[in-house]
Order: sequence, then C-alpha cells, then structure tokens
Amino acid sequence: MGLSLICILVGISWLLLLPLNEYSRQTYISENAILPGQVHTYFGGSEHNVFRAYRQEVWSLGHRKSEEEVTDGLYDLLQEIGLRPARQPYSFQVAGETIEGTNVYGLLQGPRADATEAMVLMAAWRNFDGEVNYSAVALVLTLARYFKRWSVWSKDILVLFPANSTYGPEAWVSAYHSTSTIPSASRNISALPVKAGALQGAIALDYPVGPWGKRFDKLDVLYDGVNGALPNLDLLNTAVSVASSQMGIGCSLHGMIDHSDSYQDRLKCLAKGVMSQAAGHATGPHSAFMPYHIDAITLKTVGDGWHDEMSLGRVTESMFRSINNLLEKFHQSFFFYILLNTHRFVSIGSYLPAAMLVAGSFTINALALWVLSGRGPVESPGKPKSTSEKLKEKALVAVNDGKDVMLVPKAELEVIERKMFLPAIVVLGVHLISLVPLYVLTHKEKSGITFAFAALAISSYLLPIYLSGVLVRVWDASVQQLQMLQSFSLLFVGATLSTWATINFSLALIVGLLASPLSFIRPITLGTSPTEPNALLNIVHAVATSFVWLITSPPLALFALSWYLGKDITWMLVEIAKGWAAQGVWSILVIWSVWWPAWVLGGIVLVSSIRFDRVPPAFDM
Amino acid sequence: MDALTHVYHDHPKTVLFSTAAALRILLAVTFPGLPDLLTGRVEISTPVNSFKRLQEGLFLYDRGLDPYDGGIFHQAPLLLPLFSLLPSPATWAGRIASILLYTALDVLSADCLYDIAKSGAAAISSLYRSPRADRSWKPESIIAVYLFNPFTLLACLGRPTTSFTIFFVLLSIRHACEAKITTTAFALAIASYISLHPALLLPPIGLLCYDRLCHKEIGANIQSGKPGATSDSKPSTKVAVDQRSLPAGLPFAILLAVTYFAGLAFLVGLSRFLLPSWNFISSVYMTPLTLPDLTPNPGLWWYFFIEMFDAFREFFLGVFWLHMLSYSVPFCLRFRKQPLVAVVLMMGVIAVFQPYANVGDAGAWLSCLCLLGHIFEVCSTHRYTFPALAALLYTSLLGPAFHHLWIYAGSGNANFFYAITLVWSLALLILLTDMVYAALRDEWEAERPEGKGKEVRQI
Amino acid sequence: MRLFDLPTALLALLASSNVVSATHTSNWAVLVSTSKFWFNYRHMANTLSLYRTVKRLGIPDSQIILMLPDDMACNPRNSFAGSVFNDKSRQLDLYDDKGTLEHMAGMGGIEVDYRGNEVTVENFIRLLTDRWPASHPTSKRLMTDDRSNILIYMTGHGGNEFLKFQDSEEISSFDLADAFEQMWEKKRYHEMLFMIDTCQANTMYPAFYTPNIIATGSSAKDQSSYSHHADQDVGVAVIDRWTYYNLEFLETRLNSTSADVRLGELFDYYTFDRVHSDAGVRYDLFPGGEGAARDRRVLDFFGSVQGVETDISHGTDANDWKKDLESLKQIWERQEEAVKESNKTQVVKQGQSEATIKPAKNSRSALDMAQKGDDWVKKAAGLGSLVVLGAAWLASSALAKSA
Repeated sequence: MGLSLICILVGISWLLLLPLNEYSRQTYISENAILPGQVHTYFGGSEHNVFRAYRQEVWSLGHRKSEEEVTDGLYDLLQEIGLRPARQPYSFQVAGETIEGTNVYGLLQGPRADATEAMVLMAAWRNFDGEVNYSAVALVLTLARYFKRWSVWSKDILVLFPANSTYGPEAWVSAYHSTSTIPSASRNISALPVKAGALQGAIALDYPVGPWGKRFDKLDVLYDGVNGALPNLDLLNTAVSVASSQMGIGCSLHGMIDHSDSYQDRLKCLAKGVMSQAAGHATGPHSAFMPYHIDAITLKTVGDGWHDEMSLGRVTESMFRSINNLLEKFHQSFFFYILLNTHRFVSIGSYLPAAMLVAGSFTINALALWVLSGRGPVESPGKPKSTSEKLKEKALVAVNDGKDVMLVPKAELEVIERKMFLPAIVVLGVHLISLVPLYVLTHKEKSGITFAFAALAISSYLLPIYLSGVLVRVWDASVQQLQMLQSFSLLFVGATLSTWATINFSLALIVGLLASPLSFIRPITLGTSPTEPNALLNIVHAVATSFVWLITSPPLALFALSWYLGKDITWMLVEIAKGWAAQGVWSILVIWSVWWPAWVLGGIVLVSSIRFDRVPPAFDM
Repeated sequence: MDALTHVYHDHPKTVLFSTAAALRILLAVTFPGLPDLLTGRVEISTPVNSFKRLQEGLFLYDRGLDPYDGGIFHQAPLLLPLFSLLPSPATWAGRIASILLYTALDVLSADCLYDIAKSGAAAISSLYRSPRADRSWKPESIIAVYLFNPFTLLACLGRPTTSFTIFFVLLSIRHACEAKITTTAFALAIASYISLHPALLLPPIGLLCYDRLCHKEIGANIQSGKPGATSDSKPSTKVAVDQRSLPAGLPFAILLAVTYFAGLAFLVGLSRFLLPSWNFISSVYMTPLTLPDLTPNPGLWWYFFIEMFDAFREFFLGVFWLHMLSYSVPFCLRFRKQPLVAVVLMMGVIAVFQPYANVGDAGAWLSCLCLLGHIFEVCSTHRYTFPALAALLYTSLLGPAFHHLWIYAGSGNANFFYAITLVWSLALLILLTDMVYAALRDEWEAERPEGKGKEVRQI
Repeated sequence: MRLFDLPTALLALLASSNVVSATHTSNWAVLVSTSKFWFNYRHMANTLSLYRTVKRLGIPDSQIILMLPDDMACNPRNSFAGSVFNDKSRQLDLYDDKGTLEHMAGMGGIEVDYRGNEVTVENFIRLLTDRWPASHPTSKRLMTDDRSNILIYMTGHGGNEFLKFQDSEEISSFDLADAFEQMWEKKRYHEMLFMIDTCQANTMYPAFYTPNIIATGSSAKDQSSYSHHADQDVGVAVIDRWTYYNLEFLETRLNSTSADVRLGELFDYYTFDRVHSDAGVRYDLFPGGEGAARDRRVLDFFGSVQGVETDISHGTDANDWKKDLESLKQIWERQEEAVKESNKTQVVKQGQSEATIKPAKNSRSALDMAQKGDDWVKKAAGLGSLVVLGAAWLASSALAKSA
C-alpha cells in the first residue's frame, strides 16, 4: 500500500520535472527529405491582388442567403482555377440534432506526379469558433491558383473547403477512405466523386477576417487529433521552422501567445497539451485526419502584429514544398510527445513512466489485496473475529521458515478458492452495468440529456450502497471476497489504463490520477470499539477515504470539467455525445466503462461494513 | 433465483450448454460485424487456421480448381466439403450457420471435457492416487470455465479451423479415458490430419489410454478382491495387483500406432479422392514445418524468422521443431503415474510453442488446466499463478493495442507487438511450469506426507 | 644557376614523361553515386560534374563507368525538368544531352552504365573484379589491364569504414580493399586514384593493402562532409564542398589536355577553410611514397594522355596487312556459308512442324469465376466423403467396443 502511494507521488512529481531542461529535448527535423525552408517562395507581388479579389468574392458569397449558394460559389471558383471540383453532402444525427453540410473540394493533379500520393490544403468555411473563415478560404483559393502554375508537385493536391471545422473534415476523410459510407441512423455520408492517392499530409488554415483585413502576430499551431493521436513531430517542426526561420513569424501552442519559456509557462503548456489530448475531441479541421494516419495541423492566426495574409501564404507554400519532398509518410520523428513550447518537447520515453507508475500503483494494490485475501480465516465484514489473534494462534503451529501463507490451514484455502466466483461475477456485472450510462449519455436527445445525467449521477452514488447491502446481506460475502473484488477491479483498471496510456497517454494519466484514491479504499467503520489502538487513525482514514471517494466520482468530474471550461453542462454532454457518434471519440468510454465501474466497486468496498457497530477486520498491509 | 439454481442443480450440463450457445449466438446477432472483425485478427486467425483463407480455398474448390494453387489456403482438405455444404458466410444466414457450427463444436468439446473430468483420470491412475484427489474440480465447473472462457468465446466467433483440432484432441482424450484404443487413435489421427502438431500428443495420449486400460483391469480385480486397496496412498504398494493380469504393453502400442497411421492414411486417401492432385500434402503439412508465411501471431516463431538470415533458416527451423518434439516423450516418462497431466502439459507446450500460435489454442489449454484443479492449491500457494494471470490480462489488452499502433496508427512498430507476444508466452509458460511443479510436488507429497506445506529450496 | 637548372629540369621532365609513357596506356574512370532520393540531389550532381570533367579532359565515354542510382533530372520535384545543376548560378546543365552550350560541343549526352537498382554493392565489386557472366555487355565492363590507370570516385552517405548503397546495403572498406587486391592480382590496373566524398570518408581507405593506389577522402573519422551550397529554386543542396573544390581546381588549372599539373597541387587545394573538414590522402601504397605520388600528373588519372609503346622486336612486313585481310575474308565467307545452311534447315523444320502439329487447342475454356462448377456433384462427393469418415469413426468405435 505504501509502495503504491509512492508510485503515485513519484508519478506526479515526474510530471512536474518534465519541463526542466534535463528532461526535455530541443526539437529537430528528423526526416532528411523535408528540407524545410530551403526553397525560395515566390508567393507575393501580384498574387496579393488576386487574393484581394478572391476575398471580396468570398465575402460576397458569405452574405448570400443559403448554404447551397456558398457551395455552388466555391465549386465554380475551383472550376475556374482549373481544378477538378466536386461536392460531398453529409449529415449526422446526434443527440436529436442534425448536423448537415456540403464539403467542396477540388483536385489539382501534379503535372509530373504519378497520382499515387496527395496532400490536402484546406480551409473550413466556418472555423472552429463558428466564424466564417473569409481570408483563409480566399487564401487557399489564391494558393490553389498559384500552385496550379507550378510543375514541381510530386503529389496531387486536394483543395478542400469543409462546411465546418469538425464534422465536415470527418465526413470527407472517412469517405476518402471509403469507411462508413453505408448510411446508418447516425450518419449519412455520400461517397466522394473525385479521389487521388494516399494522403500524406494535410494543412488547414484558420484566418477568419473579412475584406478589411487584419495583420496578425503569431501562428498558433493546432495539432491534437481525435482520441489524442498526434501528427508526426516532423510536420510540426516543419511548420515552426518554416514560419519562424524562413518568414520570421513566431509560433505558439494552445493560444499561449506570450510564452516566456519559464518553468511555469512550460508547465502550463504541458498541462494544456495533456488536457486537450485527454479530451480526445477535435480541436480543428486537422483532427479528423489523424485516425487515418494522415499527419495534419491547423495554422491559426492569433494576436495583433504586422504579418499579413501573404506571409501566411508563403508559409503554406514553403510547407507544401517540404511535404512535396517527402518520399513516404512522415515516419522518422516522434508520434508520442508532449510539447513544452514550439521548440522543446518531451518524448515518450521520458513521460510514459509517469502514467505507468500511476497505472502500476493499481496493479501493486491488486497484488497486495490478492495476497491478503489468501490470508486468514473466512469472516464476514464487521464480525469481530480478530484476524491478528487467529494468525498468532496459527503462528505457533508454524514451522520455523514458514511465513504468512504457509501458516494457513488447507481447509481455509479451499474455501477461498471456491469463493472467487462471487467477486468475479460482481466485477463482471458492474462492468456490464456500466454500458447503461454509456448508452444513455450517447443516445439521449439533447432535451433530456441533462436530466438523464443527473439521474445517472444520483444513481451512481446509490448503486454501491445498494449493491454492497445485497452482497453482504444476501450473498453473505466475506472480507476475503471483498478484498478479491477490489483486487480484480484494481487489476482491471490497471491493465486498461496502461493499455490506454499507449494510445492516449494523457487520458490514461488523468483518469489514473482521478481513480488513484480507489486503491486506498478500505471498509469504513462508523463506530469504533475502545479496545482498538488506532481508533483515531481509523476514523481519520475512514472520513478521508469516503470524502475523497465522494468527490472523485466520474459524474462530478464531468461536472467539474464543464465548470472549468465555463460552459453549460448540457452543451458539454451534447458535445461528448456528438464526439462519440460522429467522430468515434473514446474518452467517454474510458470514463464510463473503466473508471466508473472501478469507482462503483470501490464504493461497494467502502460501505460494505457500514451497518455494523463493531470494528471490521483491519486490512493491514 | 432459487428456481434457477434448482434447475441448474438438476441439469447442470443442459443449462451450461444452452447458456453458452445462447451467449455465442446472441453476440453474433447483436454485433453482426464482430465475427468478421475477429476473423481478421492476427491473434485468432493464423495462416493455417484462418476462416478467411478457408473461404478462399472454398471458392477455388467450388469451382473445381485445386484449392492449394493460390498459396493462401493451408488447411486440411476435408474441411472443404464440410464448409461447402454451408451457405456463404458473406450472407447473414451463412454467418449464423457458421457460428452455429462452431458453437456446436464448442459444446461438443465441452461435453468431451465433462466426460474426461468425470472419469477422474486426472487424480487417479492405475499407478497413483493423488492425496488431493478429493479436491478435483466438479466437471460442471470445468466446462463452465471452458465455455465462458473469453478466449474460447473469441475463437468461436473468429471461427478458426483449429477449433476442429481442439475438438478431436479432446475427443481422443475422452476415448482414452474410456480406454477405447481404436477411437482414441482415430480421433487423434483426425486431429493430426487437420493440423499437424497433435501428432506430438500420440505418446502421452497412448500412455493415458494404456493406463486407463490397466485401471479398468485393476478396478475389475479390486471389485472382485479387496476394495480398500485404492485408498492406500503409497503408489508402490498400490500396484499390488498381479502384473500379469494387466494388458500387455507392446501389442497395445502396436494396435494404437497401426490404428493411428491407418486412420491418417485413410484420411489422406479420402482427401486425394476429393482433390485433383497431391499438392495439399506440401501445402498443409509443410507450412507449419517450414513457416513460409510470417504473418504476426501471438507465438514465438514469426519475429524470430523475420529477423533470421536465410542461411540459418533451415537450421533454426530444425532447432525449433526439435525443441517442441523434445517434450513429448520426457513428459510421458516423468509423468507415467499421471498420464493425463502429461497430456495436458503437452497440450500447453503445443499451445505456446507451435509455429502458428493463436489464442484459441491457448484458451482451450487454459480451460483444460482446470482438469488438474486438484493441484491448484500447490500452485496458488507456492507459485506465481496470480502474477501470470495478471500478465495474461495485461497482454490480452496491450496486444491488440500495440498491433493497432503498429499496423493502423503507424506510430508503433513490430517490436511493440512482439514484446507483448513474448510476455504472453512467458505468462503461459509460467503457468505451465507451475503445473509441472505442482504435479511433481503432489507426487512427492504422496510419498512423503510429512513434507506437506514446506518450502522448496534449490540446493 | 639558371643555366644549370634548365637542363636538369628538362631531363626530369623527359625522364618523367618517359616513365609515364612507359607505364600506362589507357585511362579509365569509375564514377559512383550511391544514394537515391531527391534530397540527395547533390550526390548525383557531384558524380555528373566529375563525369563531365573527365570527359572534357579526354577520357572517352567507353572508358567511363557511370553509376547513378536515381534520375534527378526527371524527378517531378525538379523545377528545372530535364536538367541537373551543380551550382546555383545554373550556368552549366550537367544533363545537357544535346551539347548546345558552346564549350560542351561534341560532348553531349550522358552515358549511364548502371542506373537505379543496378547500383548495388555486388555489381560494383563485380565491375571492379570483372566477374561477370559471359552475356554481360562490354560497355558495362571495366576492360582494364596492367597498363590502365583508373580513377575511382565515390560519393554518398557513409560512416566509419562503410559507404551506404541506396539506403539498403553498404560496402565496407574491407570489401573494397579485397576487391582492389583482386584487381591487382588479376593485373587489372597500373595505378589507381581512389577518391571518396562522404562523411568519415578517410576511414574508407586505411584498409587498402594493394600497391599503386593513391587514396583521398573528404573528411576524417567522426567528421561530416558538408554540402557547399543550396539552390533556393531547386530547393536542395546542389554540390558537396570537397567535390566543389576538386572541380574548381580541375576547371581552373586544367584548361587543356597538356596542362602539367601535379596531384600534389590538387591535394594541397583541400584546405580546411575550403572543405570545412579534414581531407586526407594516403600515399604509402604508392611506390616511391608521397614524393612520387604527389609528382604524378593530374592528367594521368583525369585525362587520357597515354604513352605509346612501340614494339619493335617483331619485324613488321608492309604486306602483312594484305595477308590479314585475306584470312579475314576467308573467315567471313565461311560464316556466310554456315548462316545460309542453318537458315535452310530451319525453314524445313518449321514447315514440318506446321504440317504435323495443329495449333494447340485449349481444351479448358477460360474459367468463369462468377460461375460455380458442377455444384451438386461436388457437394455430393464431399458429403459422401464426410459420410465415409463418419462410417470409419463408427467402425473404429465398434472395434473399440469389441476390443
């Protein structure tokens, strides 16, 4: 028990050490082929006039009445440039809402390319904040027109205008890979009429400024993908190095425009990165590409400065030349990293131990409880057979080198062996029950979702009390069985979280930390017998564990998250449901089907001896 | 609730079988994509048992071509006529039909296990009676473990053809427990015909069969003579039976071998009758021997032979196969008093070390381990059962995750997955060695009851 | 002083030219780039630059073996399609196949002997040691003898005692040394200049143990070889430093095929300021050591100035050529005869075969994959065999019961 506490503490302090220079590294371009910033960019001069014209055009499109006119307008513009244009309507039905739109895109075939690979340049019609992305759309059009004149493309270029920043790209990229094109109740995505080769990279622009223009200070690089997948670090490095070295535009992460590179700022950047990765939701149009192993980022203009749209255009041009140089997918650099600023990162080898230590603490506790459950005579919780006394009796009988387990008479072991069934079935049962909240929260309509959530939250607290009553009274569960129950539950949490840590480190870490008190839960006692020497300690432990158990619950955590984001809980629940149904975000699954059952099982153990006035057998370790 | 338990106590087998069947069908019906998803998993489907490859072979077979021409299909020819009778598994009906077939196979296997457990061969043999014989698991518990084992469930839905092998091996053991020589040999011949490696089980199963034969004789003698003899725990004194009255060993062995090889020859001949050429011999039996297809699987071979320089390939193939071969006879010699233990251990060796390992075999073996439930206490008190089981849990979760990172996300590589298969095999091996320890310790304690509960030290 | 000096200098010149003329009769060059991919543009430019130079200095295409693993000129990423440049001024197109530029007149075209996946360690060693199947074309062979001077130039990505070939294999310095030893034993060269431009290039030649080799590399152990400059429009580095200064020297100092420039001067040109790494030279294998090696003319390796040896021991008759012609004519006539004969017999044979053998009729028509075969018969046979199997089982269990 002490060991697992140390594990958790070391895990947390490990995280706090990461921002230091000794534990992080300077970013570097690992792939030789990229050659960032080695080409001269010619985007400028007369292209500026073209851009202004397009921006005017897009502005007027944005003031048309219907969405259809917008897509038609974009379609025509692409056609005029000489691309092969196409449209893709899609609709999602989530939480009683319908998300509809039409993606417009065009194919620019590289004149000397072999049509086996392609890159994506996109600007969502509405950016992630819902504003119309006038300048970015105009810039992408200008760039498309400009790229059309070059003959250096070794890959085709797809110019994409998704209708919005989340579901549009999702619909497009899933249709590009011909997954889920069969209409279902929740999604209806039409197939793409025009396709090119394997997508090697995607860059999205976010510059929602109208014809009056606005100069920006920095480029915010958005990189989080769905389910915490990250683009190859080389792509990010390319963006940063092209922008800062070649064009002199500073870059920022997570909107931290004034990152002073101090410890605090690095830690803040790390924390923001971990939070957004853990959420696993889309952070921009690039996010949908990541599950398909397409490295993608969004360049978002932030702040007031002196860089104009042409600088952004040249950054994009240079980046496309770099991606164009690639011979295969991005593969050299890291896929698992945490960024501290645009030039420093922590690689997986340095940060994974933190999550593994936290996950390991569950396993250590599970092992300890397992060993414990093999000890001592069978008792029901709350009955005053003192374990220690019994053990002492047996110890006299024991042989010299005999230790712990060896003292236990055969007959008692036999009983324990047989009674593994009950805890196993309870653990399995609770995990099956956990599908109920998962299903309800992902399928309920918007109007009722808050109520459903509240009901679930309340029943979450009541369920352990009820189940523990049933367990102890009806099924007559023994202390050992409760220990086994907790052991199994912790073992499963540990295994699942360490698995999840390899896929989405941040989520595993956060859930692991939130669930870590479950390791230390022992049956609480309301009254203590005066003979017990550690009475006060027991009370403190009981109060502390039950308090911690009460506040670190999955429903409360969701509530706290909505408070932290400053959003309505309904909004957040609907977003989660949308993420689950439309984008396949798994975070909610981890919360409801991994954490929640463990929390409920912890609650069962916690309240298992509450109806007795006597001291329960101590779970001393 | 009470009524349920009542029904269960009255008809345990019926309840278990129908629940297991219902669960399998329910899973296939509620998640229509699940069987095909599992069929595509490398952990379940290997080049020599994949249901998908079977479809390929079936396609060629149905069109009158040599199914082994494509180089994809490496499974036993007689599976083809069987599956060509089923509707195509691409359709809903076909999928359900195949699931039904495999469910039936699971239930039949469980039935075999039930009879094996019921025979009591695990704890009591003609030469030996375990001091823990009364701790043997109930047959119902064993088949429950088999039927609701997640690995068996996954394998049932993934429909690898090794399920047939498992069934015929269990059938053979069952008949061995009933001391039926010809059917034992014939069932084992079918199993070896479907996938080569059950041939390694011939010595232990033969031993088991012979032992049961002796046991039967002794039983007959005892019934006529002194009934208290069996309770004597000293095995040396136990064989107070007239040796001459026991069935002769050599004729038995000859009969067994002749039936086995006749059965094999018959099956191969029958296959030739259905096929245009003898190609199937090399395609079916040389594939596990020479490992031409290095698709990842949870076994130990694939990565090793990917890394292998071509010049050493033959040598190490020989080494790997010799290693597997080398267990069969020594197990028989050491565990001659507990032949079923030898059989179960050999099944474990095969499940871990076979060239195209899969979780279906491992799951079936883990369930078979419960046949030796009476010596579990030795394992669980002295050894590493819980850590090994925990490692199995970890690897069964981490394996698919790493495979995903390697193949789909592109952020991992083959070493990730291979590391997990190593741990998986290690955990299985720990269970295996623990069982060896437990079985030997059980024998030792039978001789020296005073040593019970004492720690073993290496001197 | 001057009076005294002149004759000795003349004598020395005479003596040395005498030595030269007595020693090598042909010049060969093996120019190898070992890396693929667009970002290794410079390696191809290096090699092509050397190619152009040796060609300019007189080695004919037939005596240059050029190995290029990739085709940068036709790479879609190349903004100057069909061209390869070794300088950002882009005045000289190394790929100019027409020879349109004035100073390239008559030198148009590039003859690549080994391209793409042919550039392998095996082929390279086979080339050096001349172990080829009989069918290997002469133009792709190094037809040298003990009177041939060979220039070997290699460039690519290397490390300590190895050079990568195409990202997939590597040649070690020991492989190379053994290959040279074989060449020496087979009398395949007279003198050799080995040049290598790669990281840690100097580690490639300490393993050599064969005489008459001068070896030079661009960088010492644990040093990188750097590129000289990048072209912002091509978007990649276009040439490596060491090669760049080699070329600069060769282009500025060797203006004619009679330029008397010594190797020592070339080697002295590789200063650290220029190359940014410690270029190295190995002299000890060369008879006469450093002095003799440095005194070799650059054109002994880069050019094609051969001494002519006149063999006066055999008295030559002015009419010999007539006899030769006569005998050649006879051979020709015999050949002609033989060809006619064989043609005749072939025609007859063809006629026979046409008469006797009918065009093979394909008895099996193309298989319709959508159509299942004789479905029911097949299934019945299958079912039958399964029934037989069941019967066998029953029989065996009956046997078991009886036993």
